[in-house]
Parts: sequence; C-alpha cells; structure tokens
Amino acid sequence: MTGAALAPPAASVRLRLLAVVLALGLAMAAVAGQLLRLGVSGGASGRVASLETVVRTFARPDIVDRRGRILATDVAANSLYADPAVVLDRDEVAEKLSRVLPGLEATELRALLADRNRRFVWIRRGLSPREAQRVHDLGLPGLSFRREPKRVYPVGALVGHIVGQVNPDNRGIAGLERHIDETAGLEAVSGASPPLSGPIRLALDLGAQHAVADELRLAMQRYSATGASAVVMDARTGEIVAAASLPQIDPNVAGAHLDPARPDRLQSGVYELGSILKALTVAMSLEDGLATLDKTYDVTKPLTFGRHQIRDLHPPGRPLTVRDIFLQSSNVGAAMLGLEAGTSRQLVFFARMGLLEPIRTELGPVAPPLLPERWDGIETATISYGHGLALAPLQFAAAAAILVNGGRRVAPTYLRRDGEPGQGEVVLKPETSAAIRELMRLNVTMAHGTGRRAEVAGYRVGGKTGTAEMPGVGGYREKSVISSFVGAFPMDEPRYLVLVSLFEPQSGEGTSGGITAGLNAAPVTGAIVTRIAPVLGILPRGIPVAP
Amino acid sequence: MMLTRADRSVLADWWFTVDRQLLSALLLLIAVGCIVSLAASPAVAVKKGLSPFHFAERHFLFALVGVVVMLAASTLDPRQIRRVSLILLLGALALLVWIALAGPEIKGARRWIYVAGHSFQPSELGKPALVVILSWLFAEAARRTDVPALPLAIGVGALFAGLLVVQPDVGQTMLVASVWAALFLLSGQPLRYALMTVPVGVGVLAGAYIAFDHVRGRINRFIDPSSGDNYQIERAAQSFAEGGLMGRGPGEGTIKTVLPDAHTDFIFAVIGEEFGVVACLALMAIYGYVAWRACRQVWHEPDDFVRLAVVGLALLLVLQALINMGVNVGLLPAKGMTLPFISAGGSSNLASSLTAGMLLALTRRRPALSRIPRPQLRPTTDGIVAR
Repeated sequence: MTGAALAPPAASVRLRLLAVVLALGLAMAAVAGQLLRLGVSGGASGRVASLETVVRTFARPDIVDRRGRILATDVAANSLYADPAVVLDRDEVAEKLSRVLPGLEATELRALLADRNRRFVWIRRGLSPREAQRVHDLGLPGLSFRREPKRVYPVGALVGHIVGQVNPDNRGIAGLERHIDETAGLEAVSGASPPLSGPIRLALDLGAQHAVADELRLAMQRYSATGASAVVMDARTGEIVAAASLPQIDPNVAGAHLDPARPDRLQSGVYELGSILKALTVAMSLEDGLATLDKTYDVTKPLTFGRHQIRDLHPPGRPLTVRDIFLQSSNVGAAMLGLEAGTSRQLVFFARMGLLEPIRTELGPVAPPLLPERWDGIETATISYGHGLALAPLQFAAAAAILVNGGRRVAPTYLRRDGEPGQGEVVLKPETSAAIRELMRLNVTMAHGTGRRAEVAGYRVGGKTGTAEMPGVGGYREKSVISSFVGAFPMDEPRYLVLVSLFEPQSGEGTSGGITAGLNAAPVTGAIVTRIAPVLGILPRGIPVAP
Repeated sequence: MMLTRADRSVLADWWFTVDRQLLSALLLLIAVGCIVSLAASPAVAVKKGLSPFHFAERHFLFALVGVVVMLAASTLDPRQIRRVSLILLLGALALLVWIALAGPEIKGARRWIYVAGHSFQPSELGKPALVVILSWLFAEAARRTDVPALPLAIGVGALFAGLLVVQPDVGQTMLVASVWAALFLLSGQPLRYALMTVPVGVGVLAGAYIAFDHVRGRINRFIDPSSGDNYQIERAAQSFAEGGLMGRGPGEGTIKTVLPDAHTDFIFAVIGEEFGVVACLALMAIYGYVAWRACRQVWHEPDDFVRLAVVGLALLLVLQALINMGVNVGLLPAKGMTLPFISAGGSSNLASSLTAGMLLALTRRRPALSRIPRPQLRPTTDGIVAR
C-alpha cells in the first residue's frame, strides 16, 4: 500500500493526462487560429459594422420655473453621422441627403465623405423625428444615427436671456445653462438617457414673466423704443420672479446669445439711470441725519461749477422741502443734498448700498459699475441726480430693494431661494426705509406726482421716475433718453420691486409729445403691476365693488 | 538577502522548493492585468460617471492583495491546502444557498453578496476549493473502498453546479463541469464511465437551452448571427481586425467606449485592438505555459491527490481563460466569464490568485519522506485506533 503510493503514476494515467493536455492544446490552437484569421485579414473582413465614436454628450437637468413649469429639458433626438469607409457612392449620398435635409451643402458633404480613413463624421445633430425618418427611408449604407439628448426650450424666447444656451454637445455656454455646468456638474452619457439629478428650480414665475415681456413689447411699439427691460424682484429675498430685456433671444436658435443687437440690458450693460437715483440721495440725507423730510433748501437758482450749470427743467421759483425735492424731482435740490453730505459720505453710502462693487448672478458677472474718473465736487452733485455713474439696472434694483424692504441687503438671484426671507445684513435704518416708501407712494397718489400714471387700483404702487439723456458723441443727446421707473408694491409692506426701463422712447399716444418717464415708463409699470399682482398672489385692497 | 540551503526557515524552504518558473509566469499575468486595466478601464469608468481611474485603482489594489494571497497560499503543505479548501468550500456552499434563497438580484442574476459596500461572488472563491476537495475525493475513491468517496465527489460536484445553475450562471457551470469530468478521467476510473460524462454534459446543456431564455437566445444568435442582436460579439471580433497584428497602440482603441463590459468580459478584445494579435498570442502563450508547466510537474508525481489537484487547478485557470478568449474571438456564444488576472473584478482576481497560490503550493518539491501516507483510520469496536 505504502509502496504503491510512492510509485510514479501508471502508464494509463499518464496517457489520460496526455489526452487532457492534447485537448487543451487543440482548443488553444483553435482560438489562436481564429485570432490570426481576424488579425491578418484586417479591415477587409467584410463584416465591418459602422464604427461608434468616442464623442459623447451630456445629460442636463431640467430647468423649471417656481411652479415647476418646464423652461428647458432634454429630449432624445437622432443625430446623423456617416462612416466614410462604408459609404458606397458619396455623390449619391451627398445629393440625396441635401435634398431631404434643407440647408445641407452637397459640396461640403462630399468633401467630408472623401476621407476614407475617417470612420466617423457628423452630418447633422439633433434631427427631428420626421427628418430622421426621411433619412432612414433613403436606405443609404454608411449612414447611422446616434440617440443623443437635445436641449429644447418649450417657451423659447420668453426666457432666452435667462436660461442661456448650450452647444451641440449639450454643454452650457451661456446663462443659467453655463451656471449649471460650472456648479451642478453634468453626467457624460453616450446615448440619450435621462439625467439623474432633479430639476433646477428658478425663482421665475412664467405667468409674470409672460405679462412683463408682453407689456414691454407693447410699450416698445407704442413709444417706438429701441429696447426695453424690466425686472420684478422679491424685495425681501432678491429672488427674480420676472426679468425681460427686449429684443429677446430664442435659445432654440444656435448662437442667438451672441447677437450684439440683443443684449441682456438688465445685467450686461451699464447706464446712467437718471432721477431714480434721487431716491438714494434723499435716503442718504435722512439716514445720516443731515435732513428731515421737512427741511427746506433754496433751489431757485441754478448751481454753477466753472462753466457747468445744474438747472431744473421747470425751476420751482421757491425753496423746496426734501419731500418736494423728491416729488418734483429737482436736480438742483438733489445736488444740494449731495453736496451737503459731501463726496466721502456719498461714497460710503453708495458702497453700503452695494453699488460700487461688481456683483454677479447665476447668469454670470453683472457688468461692473462705471465710476467717474474723478469723484469730487461736481461729480458728487451730478451723481446725486443720477448722472456720472453708470449702473447695470439689476444692480440698481438690488439697491432699491434695500430702500423699500426695511433696510436689508439682498443678493439678486434667479434661483428659487428656500428659507426665511430677511437674512441680509441691515444697512439702512427702518425709519429711513419707511420715509422712502412714504415718498414713493406719495409720488404716485399725488395729483401732480410724476409717477401718478403708475397707479393701479388696489395694489398700492409707489415709485420714482427717471429720465436720463443718453451720452452721445461730444455730450448728451437731448432726444435720446432712457426713461425708467423704479417702484414697489404693495407700498404699505412692499413685496415686489419693479424696475422698468425704456430705451430711446419717442413720443407716442397719450404722451402729448413728451418722452419723460412719467409719460411712458410709469404707465408701463402700472400695466405690468395690473397683470402680475394677481398672478403673484397679492391681494387687492380698497377696490370699489362694481354695482 | 542571500538564502542558502542550510537555512531551514519558512522563507528559505519556500524559495528552494517553489516552482520559480511557474511563479514567474503567474506574476507576469498579474503585471499584464495591471497594464491592460490602465488602457481599458478609464473609458468604461468615465461612461459610468466614475473617476477615470476608478477601476484601474481597484485593479491595482486587488492585484496587490492577490499577490499576498498567492504567496501566502503557496507556503501551505498539501494537508493544509485540503483543510483550507474544505473550510472555503463549506463557506462558499452556505453563502451560495443563502444567495439562492435570499440574495439580491442584479441584472437578472443572484450572484453577488454585499459586504461593507463591496460586492463579492462566493462562487468564485468556491471554485478552487471545490477542485481541491474533488481531487481529494477522487484520489480516495481510487485508493480505498471503505468510504463512499466517489458518490461524495459526484454529490458535491452536482450540488455546486446546481447552485450555479439557479443563479443562473451557465458559463461557470460549464467550466466546473468540465474540470469535474477531467478529474474523473484522470483519477483512473474506468474509461467507459469517463466517456459517460459526454452524454451527461450534452444533456445538461440541452436542458439549459430549454430552461433559460438567455442561454437559448445566445446560442441561437451564435448559430445564426442574423437572428438577433449580436452586437457585443460582432464588435469584439471586429476589434481584432481593427487592431491587426501589431495593434493601434495603447489607448487608441474604440471598443472600450462602446461595450459596457470592456473592462471585464471583453478585455481580450481591447488588448487585441490596442496591442495587436501578436500580444494576444503572447498572452495565450503565458496561460499555455502555466498549464504545460503544471502537467509536467505532475508527470512523476506519485500522490494521486496532488496530481489531480494540480491539473484541476491549472485547468480551472486556463480553461476559464480559453472560454473567455473563445467568446471574444467569436468562437463561443457569449457568457459572463472573466479573463483570470486580467479582467477587472475583485472576486475574480482574488479567486485566481488563490488558485495560483494553491497551484504553487502543490507543485513545490517535497522530500519523499513526506509522501509516505499516514496510517489510515479505521473504525473498530472499541473506538477509533490506528491500524
């Protein structure tokens, strides 16, 4: 027994071992043979399927408004590509394709297909189902589709400036789309798969946005203006519930955001905004205890700085109280308030209101404020009534929100903000804010207030008008103005701040030849509030019941 | 450090008895696996939204652990190998039963269990243990008649295969059945019984064809490529053509961006496309050398158990590699089987390393004295005593 265990294996066992080794060797030879057959025959094996590509696209989260209505979403679309090595007759392909896909150049296509070493060329991405079917029905070899996510914007131009655009690979290149790329991150996909992350929820209310854009469109027609912009911001949180800049861009059209004739005026341009800055000047005087609403200033004579004179359009002919300076929008009065405070105090105050530092929103950096080269004497005087300091409307709107919301700073945001409002730093006394609210409301309710055309029954609108001449070559152009209205409603406890600007309005119906803000921007604001206040859930008060 | 024959420590003992050529071949395979994972896995990782080197890092980690496991296992002697295998097999069987009853289902199969966030396949670690135990049972069956070793070998094999079938993992079942049949043949059982395994195998395969939709689909598509979506197989076979003899160059391949399993089941196609058919043949040659070396080592081996276990373990590695390669080049229908040491996958790599470690342990040179069988234990009326 013991001896047997130490003996080498029997011949029959060795034979069986050899058989196993032989079988294994045969199997290996088979695999090796097939390997060589595939490898040596090379690309000419005739079973060459179309080559997939390394190109990949990105699945993006949806963008929805504050009520969840879709502003941007991915749909699966067919993208057409060709494998030049498999295309049989490139003239036929070029000709037939350019017939079913309008806008496709047959000569360019022929050049693309000429390089037989390439195994993958895009022909057109994001075909509609009907186009894809037509291409499919041609039955041409060498053409294939890839399913890709394609970004679509169902409401189109209405939110064009805000959502921005994507490139053909579905990467964000402008607006919120770019913000999503930079913050949330995307998922690289090959094929059309839904994104894993939830939607990006905006503060925007689509209903309010539509009303604002529609009123601006009407105003541009009525006053033959070259542009118009408006922003409606939650005065307590900085949430932007509507923001439109006309002319708008259609995000569904590639490259639309690059059109220089269609800038987002709210955030990418700076303008001297004129008398609406007087609200800031008055607030500064009240805040620093330099004046009360009833303190009087002698505004009867123009102010002279060397060869420059500051004068009022209609000199009042009597000393005015601070209240009247605001209500009658006296340039001389505002300049006197500014000069009384002095340059350094003005600088400190403007900085506190966030007007001297560049800010940014989710759409990117806001155009930085354009400060005067020298800020002294005359600049202090002119800036007091809104000339000499150019601001992006959105940045001014954020400062105006402080004036009416009780004195807290807000950061403008396009995204829906969760949590309690009123967390911002307090930069203004509540009493100052209350005084400005009172002045704004008075400006609308008074029989001769410049803002009286902004009044909307029941919604307690208040605000300040401003008509600023636009700078031209060698000075200001009298007939080219930006007329603005900064307002808030309901004025007893302001919830929304509205800033409307019309660019180069001409006289139109109901303006009796004038182009000042009280005649155009104020009524537009009134029309906007009439339409958005119910949408935003503001309850009207004191409307007489119809009999 | 110089080791001398006078040194009787475990390390010196190991160094002078281990089959260093076999060891070199196995280490070479592990190294190739690391290199190839750098080429193949980043594309897959990116597609899955992971960091590019997610799979490569894991592969390196498991290769390191694998080398340690392999070296540790190679220091054991045959008796210890048997004991370790028995424990591993019983553990694997218990886990397989648990999975079959209550395990999580992934991609239509119950194969994995989750431990601390890592998935792991008990069947992988059970395979080498099964081969060792089967070898022992077959060896005992040939040597003595007082224990039902042969029925036990059939029973254990059937149980393990059955648990694989219910997962269902038909590919692994075929592998285990093939190794079982080879061991049966080599154990010196009468040839007519050995030949009976052929009709049994065909019958089981026919049963799988009838019982499992995916098996039927794969075999149908294999026989008639036009009958269904054969995309993965065709694409894999095509990549060898794309690569040609010398390959397109490391990182230049495209198949890895297309096939979801480019880093596991279809890694051979990635090698073919990027490094060429010559590299593929070289890799095959390493596997072939492992098998050849193992068989040569046991040519004079008098111990039935050791001979069977060495051939069985080598077959386990090499047959799995061959099946994987056969699928990749389009000779076999698709089945989920990894290329040992090369494919990504923790369980697979650890199991391969364990198999290799046992192989090394059993092929170590041993003095004739240790081969003398111990006296057998026989039951008597007054208890168990040595005869």
